[in-house]
Parts: sequence; structure tokens; C-alpha cells
Amino acid sequence: MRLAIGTAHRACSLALIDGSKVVKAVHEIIGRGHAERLIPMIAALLGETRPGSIVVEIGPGSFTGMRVGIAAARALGVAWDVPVSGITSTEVLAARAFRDHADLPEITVALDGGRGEVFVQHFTRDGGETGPPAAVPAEQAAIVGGAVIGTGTPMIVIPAHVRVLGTDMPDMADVAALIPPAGQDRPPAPLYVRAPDAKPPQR
Amino acid sequence: MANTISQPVRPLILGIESSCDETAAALVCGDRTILSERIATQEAEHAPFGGVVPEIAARAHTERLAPLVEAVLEEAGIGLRDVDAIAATAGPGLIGGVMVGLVTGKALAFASGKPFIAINHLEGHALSPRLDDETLTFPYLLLLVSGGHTQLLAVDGVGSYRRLATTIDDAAGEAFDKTAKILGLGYPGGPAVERLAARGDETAVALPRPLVGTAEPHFSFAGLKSAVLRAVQADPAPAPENVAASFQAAACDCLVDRSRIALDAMPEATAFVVAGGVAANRRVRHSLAALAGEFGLRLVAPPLALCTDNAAMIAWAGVEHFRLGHSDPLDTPARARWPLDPDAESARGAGVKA
Repeated sequence: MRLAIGTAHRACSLALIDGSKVVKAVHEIIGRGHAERLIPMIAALLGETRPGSIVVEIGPGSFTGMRVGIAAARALGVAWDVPVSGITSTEVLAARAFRDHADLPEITVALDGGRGEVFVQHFTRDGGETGPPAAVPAEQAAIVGGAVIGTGTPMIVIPAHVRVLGTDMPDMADVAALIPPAGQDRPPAPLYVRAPDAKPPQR
Repeated sequence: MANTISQPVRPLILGIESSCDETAAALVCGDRTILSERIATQEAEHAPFGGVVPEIAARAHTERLAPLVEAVLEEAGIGLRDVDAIAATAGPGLIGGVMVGLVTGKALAFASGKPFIAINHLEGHALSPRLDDETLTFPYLLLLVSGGHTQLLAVDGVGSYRRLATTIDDAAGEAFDKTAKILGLGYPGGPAVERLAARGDETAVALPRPLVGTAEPHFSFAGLKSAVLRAVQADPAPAPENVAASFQAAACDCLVDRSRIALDAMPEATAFVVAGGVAANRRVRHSLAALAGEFGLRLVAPPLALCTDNAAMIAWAGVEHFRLGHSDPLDTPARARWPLDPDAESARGAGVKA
């Protein structure tokens, strides 16, 4: 069984997944405070179950949230001696869109990136992601294809022909909908997209 | 090399530290043996910025901590099941980094079914002299002097601290770093200032000793830092080694004068203890040893590796708490501010960090 941990957005999202079946899941929108809530929530979800692998949401999203989830996942991996891999916030939403809409050939995922920016990434059903996620000002976000999903959707101007498939944040239960090998071999390292806010002093 | 210990003296505690710019893990036993210890400094990452950048620190902790924990366990030939508890810094410090270490510690504790102990970083420093010196008993006076803190604490027992003084503006280590920056010596500045000062005349440049001679118990270093800046702008400019030496002497005078007030207020102290990165400075140690002598006390200064941020001191604080039956819940929050003495009156000034 796989434990999926998602803390890169405002939810504390967990799922225990067996193959493509969700055994147990919890998705609580907590806003902040992942560092306090996460471990007790994992304990409550698992009970006596010990997963054979861990997959953790690596962003793009809240830097602090991503780090909390990744620190927990890697520590659990050390303690249980099980493999830990990363999954992106965008591919979790893309997986949901492709599962729920069998006719959908491609999707743009747009996530609220804060500071008036959105994290955008485009996926096709057959080929997966067509490029890396990028942080762009909301007014410059381009929707490739006929559909968009994600928390960034309300921030951007949607052309009339584009279908909005939801404005939710990633839910780890949707990891079960991912078609392997997507998300299987990414390292559990944060996908920051943005460089740290620090400039060397001017001389 | 796996160094298998068949019977470590209990308790055996895994300690984790990530509150500033050092990522560290250590295994410490009840008999003060450090079974293994790893520390990854971020000096190189922060050097271009002339100080610690919180986001860069948090990124580095996230990348490094888990492998570090694995390495200390492997080096000691210890599995998590052999550990009695996991202790991690829960604050005070840079919150992004604190969270990484705290969540790592809580996850390890949950996964191994061991107790979790949340450690105040300042308490780690306050108790670290007892890791090095088994004869050191409570109560003692602690001067904690680093880049983030300058405090005098009456250490009455584990979990029992009275803050006698703190800085009203900059920490002493900050003044060293800023002096180094003014003199173009790079970061971290403390060791560079000390090396340059060794060749200088400490009476050559007149510098103020803020608050020295006043009845107020606290520290202040902002005025000294500004005076260094003015001094180097003089025409002709004084020799850099003389500035460094004069600054160091002034900082020592401040530390000694304030510590004297605290020693007067704490006649029950069994020792005068100094910890924190600035305690590595030999001129500082020499001045404080002389002061301790005036009071018929010995100066206890832990080895340098224990003075600066490290995980052995966090593990040791875990040992002390474990023996008293303490543990903390898995929803323990990370705290940017966490004064050791919650009853301390707030000192005037804006730079008070804890």
C-alpha cells in the first residue's frame, strides 16, 4: 500500500492507496498549520497499517507547506525503510481531470501561486506533461487546449471556448488515478519554480 | 565505519537541530557519550548575502536533514528501534527551518513508536555545558552569547530558568559580524575579527561601551557597531587591525560589566558558564575567566563544537528531559519566539528576540 501526503496547498490531504483503489483518505482544508496537524492526521489515517511506499506532493505550491510534507515523508521513509517518491501538484489535478472526463485530450492546470501569479502546466492524455510548470502573472497565463482546472482558474480570464473543470486544490485521493509510471520516479524534493527572495548586497 | 555499541547507557536520544544555518543530527547516551554526530553548515550558501537568508536556510535543511539522520544512525550502528526518544528543536529560530527539523523529529517518533521531546534551542545551549562536564551542578549563571542571542540566565534546574539580562538591540555576535562587514572581512565575522585583532592595538581607537557602569542589567551593542562605522570613516582612517582589536576589547568590557551585575545578583551560583558562538573568542573567554575568578568561581566554557549550534546539545537536553519523564505531543507547534523564562519582563528596545 502507498501513503500519499499532500501539504503543498491549503489542504492537509492524505490517502492510503492500494493499486488504483483508495482504501482510506482525508482531505481537510486547514489553511495554515500543516506542521502541527500533519503527523497526528497520518497517525489517525494509518492506525496499525504500515505502507510499503510513500508518495509526497512536491509542489508547485506553498514553500512552507511543501517542506513540511517532504520532511515528514522522508523521515517516515527512513524510519520504515520504504521508498519515497515525489508527485507534482499539477499532475494530481491533471489525473483527476482525465479520470473524470473520458473525452478530454488535454488539460491546462492553473494553481494559485500567490503574489498575483499562477503556476501553470499543460498535459496531454497520451503524453503527460508537455513542459515544466511555470510561475506567470495571472493576466499573462495562457490556456492551451480547451479545458482548465485548479485554484488559479478564478484568477485568469477564461476564453469562451474553454471549459472550467473545477477550482479545487490537489486531493491526494486522486493519486490513485495517476497512470504509472507518472509520479513514480521523481525524487521527494521541492519543486519551487521560483528562486528564493534574496539578492546579494549592492556594492 | 559502523561502531556498534552493544549496551549504550540509557537513555539513548536522537537529537535534531535546524533553527538557523546549521543542519545537524546526533545520538547521545545517558553517560554523555556522543555516539555519532553530523553537522552540515550553510556558510557558503549565505556568504554572498552577508548574513543568513531564511528561505535559503529552509531549502538547505529540507535537502540535507533526512540523509544526515540516516548517517548518524548508520555510523553508530543503531536502528531507530534502539533509541529511547527523539528530541528536536521546536524554536526559537527561523521558522521555516525549525518546521523541517520539528516535523522530521515528530515523523520519526511516530513511525518508530518512540516518545517525542520538543526542545527549546536556548535550553540546548543552557544545558550543553553539563554534557561536557559531569561535575557541573545547578544552579549556575549562563552567559549565552551568539549571533542571535545575548542573555544572562540563572539556570536553576532542567526547565527552570530566570532571565537576568538580554540585549535591548543587537546580539553580541551580530556586532562582530557587522564589524567584520565594515572591515570587509566576510561572513561569518567573529573568527575573522579575532584573527585581525590579534595584530592590533586595542587602545588605539576610542569606542563606546554602551550601558557600562549603569545599574540597568541589560546589554546593548547597536551604538558600538555604529561607532565602528564612524571610526573607519575618519580621515586618516585607523588601521583595520586596530579597529578590530579596539572593537573586541569594547565588546568584552560590555560582556564583563553586565555579567558582574548578574553574578552579584546570583550569589548561589556554583559556576559561571559561557555558551554560544561568541564564547569561541579567546579574548572573550580570557575576560570572563578573570571575572569568574573575582567571584571565586570557575569559568566553564564548553569546547567550540558544543558552543556553536549543534545537535548533540539538543539530544543532551532530550536526555535531561527524558530522565524527568517529559515528552511532548505530535501536534507540538514550531515557535519563532520562545523565551526560556516566560516571566521575564520585556526589555526595552526592538531587537529582543527571546
